[in-house]
Amino acid sequence: MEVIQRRCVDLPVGGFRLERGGLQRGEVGVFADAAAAFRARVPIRYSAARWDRAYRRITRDSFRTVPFYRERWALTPGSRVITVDEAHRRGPDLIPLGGGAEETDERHSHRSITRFAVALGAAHCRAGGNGGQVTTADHLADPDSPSLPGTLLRDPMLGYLGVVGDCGFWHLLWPEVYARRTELGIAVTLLQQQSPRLVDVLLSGSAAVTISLCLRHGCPVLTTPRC
Amino acid sequence: MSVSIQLLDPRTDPEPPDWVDFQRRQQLYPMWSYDLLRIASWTSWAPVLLGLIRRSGQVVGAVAAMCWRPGRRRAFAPPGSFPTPCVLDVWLVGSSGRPSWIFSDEIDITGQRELLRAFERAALSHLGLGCVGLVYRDVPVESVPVVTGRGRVTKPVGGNALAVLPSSSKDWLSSLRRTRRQGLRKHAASLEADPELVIEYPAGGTGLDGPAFAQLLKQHNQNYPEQLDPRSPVSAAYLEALLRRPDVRTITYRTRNSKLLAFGSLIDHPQVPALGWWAKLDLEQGGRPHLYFDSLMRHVSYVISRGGRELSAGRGQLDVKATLGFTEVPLCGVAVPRWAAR
Repeated sequence: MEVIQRRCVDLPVGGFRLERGGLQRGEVGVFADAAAAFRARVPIRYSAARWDRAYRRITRDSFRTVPFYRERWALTPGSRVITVDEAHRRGPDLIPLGGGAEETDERHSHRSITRFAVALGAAHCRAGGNGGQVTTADHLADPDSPSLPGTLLRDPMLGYLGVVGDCGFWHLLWPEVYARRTELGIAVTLLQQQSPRLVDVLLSGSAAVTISLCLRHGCPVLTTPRC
Repeated sequence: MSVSIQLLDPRTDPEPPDWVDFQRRQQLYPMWSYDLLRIASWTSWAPVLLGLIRRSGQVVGAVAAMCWRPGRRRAFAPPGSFPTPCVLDVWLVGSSGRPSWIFSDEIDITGQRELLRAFERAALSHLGLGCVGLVYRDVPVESVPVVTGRGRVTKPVGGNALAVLPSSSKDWLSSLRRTRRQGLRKHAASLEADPELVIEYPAGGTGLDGPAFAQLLKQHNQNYPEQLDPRSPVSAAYLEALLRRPDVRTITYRTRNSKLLAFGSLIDHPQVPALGWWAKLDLEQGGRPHLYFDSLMRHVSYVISRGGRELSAGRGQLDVKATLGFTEVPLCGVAVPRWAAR
């Protein structure tokens, strides 16, 4: 399977250094089956620049309105990445000042990943009990873990993050999930979720995982050494 | 003598070199620490404005204020700027029952009044027309002349509880009403005998969990809703930084499996130690009764044991504090419309 070589660049964003997901600036992909994507109400075109802009927007807004990120980014120098344990521990501070939900909306997350799987041509995936296998990021680099088309990637806190397409790659649910490579692994941001706000949460067990672009579907994929 | 006012935004401005010296000279409470002001300012929707008043180049006074915007708060102020429109609230984060200005001993009441007026003018000019005026909180009655004047509204607010302590805990206990004394002894004995309860009372604890404390404090304060209180909830970072200082003691009540039931802090000031935050878990959520009285008794015993003669217990619960030997020191609040600050 051909994968575009990843490249990391540093861009100054709102006073912070942002390490991009590893995709080239201006990269644009189009779903092979655009009609299926259209029917599933998933954006047909993927644009790395637009993806980065969405991430910058949620980052700026989080610094402006969410107590935890205000405290963390203003006062603690160093890495901006947080662990899932830390996010759990600071749960109440991840709610914006204006108020909001205390937990990730699982139903919304499930609906989105199902539509996305349909658009990817992994229509036989039916998450949550209809035969679709679900795995966690810990198993991404495990050679024995399942990566059959339709297998879902789910984190108990972040919800559904990706799905294996019919090309065999782990596709990120990019309309809702932003991912970037850091020294510690893959940091994930939920782009659409307002509360609890989850920005740059480290996926456990993702140290060897990289982000690339699937040429067939034209959208970001998580690749492991065995890919 | 020339007077100059330096206005500092602790979020972005570096700490002036003579500030530490002034703090030490005046034996200021730890809440005046520049680092704590910086943390408070970053993590509050009302950023802090610190005014340093210099006479002939020497710092002779300081005013801590916060700048809040009326209405619903959905966002923190952008770095390096203050909200507009705004009210300048002369209140030091973490302070209760004390004015939020401080002057060197050689400045008399008239001098303080002149210097405070100079601060008001400088602050209003710095904040621009968006600042509608000032509010002074917790002004002791004897200091009211410093801030009153034409167009200024002065109103009495709840008093500060202050206890003059005897030389031994035994004397303090025997000075209380009999029922209160017996109650305190009974509660202390029952808490000591509780095998599930772990009580710790260290100075500058390192194992303190700021987020858990901040969450408990937030829950606790929801039981006492104060209308129109513009103050931001205390952040975990601020609580952690304050409680880790060696001049702050924190009493914690936990279960054996480390569930936090209550905590209370004491600002261990050499002259007038002061009680800081107190928060406890509701009984319905697994909290224990009588912890407040127990914490107060331990604080009083500690202050007496290290030779302290006074203890300030802040505002609120004055009737309860009166049964523990505290007396009320009346306080006022003063509102200053922009046009009156000349």
